[in-house]
Amino acid sequence: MIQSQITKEEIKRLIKIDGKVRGQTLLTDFGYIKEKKGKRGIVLLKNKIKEWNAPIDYDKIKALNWYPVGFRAISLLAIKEVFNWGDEEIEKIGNTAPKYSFIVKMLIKYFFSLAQTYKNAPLYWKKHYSVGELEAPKINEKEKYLVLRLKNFKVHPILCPLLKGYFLRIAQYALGGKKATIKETKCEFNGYPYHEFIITWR
Amino acid sequence: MEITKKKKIEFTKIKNQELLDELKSTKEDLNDLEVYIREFSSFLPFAVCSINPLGIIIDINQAFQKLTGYGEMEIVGEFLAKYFLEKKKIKALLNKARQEGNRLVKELTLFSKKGRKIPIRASVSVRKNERGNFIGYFVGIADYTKIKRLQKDLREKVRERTAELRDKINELEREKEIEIVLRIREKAKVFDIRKKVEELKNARTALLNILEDVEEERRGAEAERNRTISIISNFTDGLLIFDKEAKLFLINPKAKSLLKINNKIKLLGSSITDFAKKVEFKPILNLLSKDIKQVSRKELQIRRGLILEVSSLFIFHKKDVVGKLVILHDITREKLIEKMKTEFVSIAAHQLRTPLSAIKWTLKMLLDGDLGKITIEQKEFIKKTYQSNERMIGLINDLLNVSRIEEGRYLYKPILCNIIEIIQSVIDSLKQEIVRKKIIFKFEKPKEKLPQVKADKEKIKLAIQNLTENAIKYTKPGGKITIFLRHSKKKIEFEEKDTGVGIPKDQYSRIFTKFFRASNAIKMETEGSGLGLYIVKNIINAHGGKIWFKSKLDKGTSFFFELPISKK
Repeated sequence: MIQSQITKEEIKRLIKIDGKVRGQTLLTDFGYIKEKKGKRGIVLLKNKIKEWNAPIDYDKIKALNWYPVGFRAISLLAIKEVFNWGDEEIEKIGNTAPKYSFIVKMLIKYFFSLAQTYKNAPLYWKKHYSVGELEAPKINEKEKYLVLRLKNFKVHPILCPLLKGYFLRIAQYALGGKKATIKETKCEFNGYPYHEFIITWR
Repeated sequence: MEITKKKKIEFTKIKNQELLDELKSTKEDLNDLEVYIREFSSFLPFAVCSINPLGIIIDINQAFQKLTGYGEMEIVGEFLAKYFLEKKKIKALLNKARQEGNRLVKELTLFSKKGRKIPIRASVSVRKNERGNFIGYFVGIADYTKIKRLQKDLREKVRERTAELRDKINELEREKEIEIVLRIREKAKVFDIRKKVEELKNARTALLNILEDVEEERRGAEAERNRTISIISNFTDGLLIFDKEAKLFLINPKAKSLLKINNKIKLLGSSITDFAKKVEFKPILNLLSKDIKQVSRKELQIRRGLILEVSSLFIFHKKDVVGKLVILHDITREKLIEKMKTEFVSIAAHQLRTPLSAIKWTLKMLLDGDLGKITIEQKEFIKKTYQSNERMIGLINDLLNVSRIEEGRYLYKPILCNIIEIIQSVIDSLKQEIVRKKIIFKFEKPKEKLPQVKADKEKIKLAIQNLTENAIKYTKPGGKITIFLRHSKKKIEFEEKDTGVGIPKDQYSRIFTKFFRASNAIKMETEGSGLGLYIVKNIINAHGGKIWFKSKLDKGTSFFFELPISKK
């Protein structure tokens, strides 16, 4: 048996982190694995969670219920370890998440324009996470870029590629067919006071 | 104070508990709502998708996934139009729905993941938020495949049924037509039968009439036949009729009598050869085997004391040859009389020629003054008498020649001779007369050397002389006479062309007969025996040659004859 790189202590630490996350986010991870890896993948993922003694039961999670924010990190770490995936795949999960998200579908009313989408970013964030504040300090439609900042959200670095993919998808919804890219220019884990993402498009 | 504080805390606790209960209840309701929406979406049989204002798919239900075969992950986030065949139409439909704010419906074609074209009915309705801002669309999609198939099937069934009905109608019409035709035919049949009975009656009457006519005709024909048989039987000439297969069909009693045929000999049906053998009448073979087109006639001495003129001619029915008729005419008596006449002429001519010769020489002596001097007047009279005597001698010579010809004694003595020399000698002998009449006379000789001909020189000379004398005699002074001489490998052709009076067309056939002179010749020249051309023809024929002429009245005449070239 391959030795897990995540220690049980780390799992405990993550569970104890202050802050909640909507069950929907966990369900989107679960849905992605179901789609990509099928039943066998689900079994492997559940086994890994059990192995870590993490109290995550995907079958009982409710989309609109709140769960410890660390669950999101544990879920992604388990996926990463079980399927030996890198940041790119995690980013893809993030990019796909809005497709499954019940909350996103409910919040579609905020996406009718790019400006509206990012004006409502703090509200939108609060619908998913109880910690951290998301804001869009700069939107330049002329030069085709926007800046997103996420403050007070230092859960685990695995969430950075996930959020990259996630924010890009939301931008894509608002930009239509325009080709958009995203970069994380600043990260709290690298000593910055916040995470900063810059989205550009053509 | 303490009590009031405790009461307040108690009140706050109760309120907090109420709020917690309320929150818990709201959470439960929210979860139930989420489950309800998810289940509702799952069990909804129609494909539904949520579209953002830019036309991007935000959400799809399970029916949509089932219909298209696309999973949520594949299709959410993509443009809706991408999945339609009529991309412009779906975009236009969305725009129109946004502008009008109504629910719009349109039949379109959706692509499945496998590329199948799905006929659908798209219902588009606009989504707005609580402030009335446009936030996207709901698009409901009804699969029309079955309906379309049903429509197609129905259309086909209607078409089939229509075709069947049409066939049925056609069949009925045909049956009706056939029935009508049959009725018409039946009527026509009855009519035909009646008509035929009528026709038969008429035919019977007509046949009876015809039979009567035929019987009458038969009786007439029999009477005619009997008449013909009696004529043929009593005909003074012998008659032989051969059918078209050249077999003897009829022989009359006179023919039997002439040919001394025994009645016992069966001749009818014999071929010409058999007939000739049976009756010992071989000359008939030559006569009948010739490919004659018209009448062929020949005199034959059958035996001593019997000369027959045998004529043969074809019998025609319309244009077809149906047989050959041979007429045997007994000319023994005529021949005897002719012989006697010829002998008389011969004797008379001989008897006349001797005293005429004596007269000629006496007159010659008188003219030459051998018997004493005579006056000019006397000389003129004697000269005329001499000329008349000369003509008499010429006539006597002609008559002698004719009698010799007819007696078959006009035998010629052939030798190889030069025809040019003969012609030249004739021209020379007649030069004086040519000059006297101022006639332009030409002799066109061939450039190459002519072969010699085997001929009786004297007789040929006489023939050429007769022709040339005639040409001079019947050409007016100043006229033109030309002699042409041509030759081929087998024969020499002589032509003497004059510009004389010509021969009347109606007298062509008699020109070579004895004592004949054309009417215009008699008018022009009173003297002439009419024997010249007869003698010429006999001379040329005796040499195996042929003589003919071409003439135009008042323009001139050309006489031709040809002689065979002797190889040795």
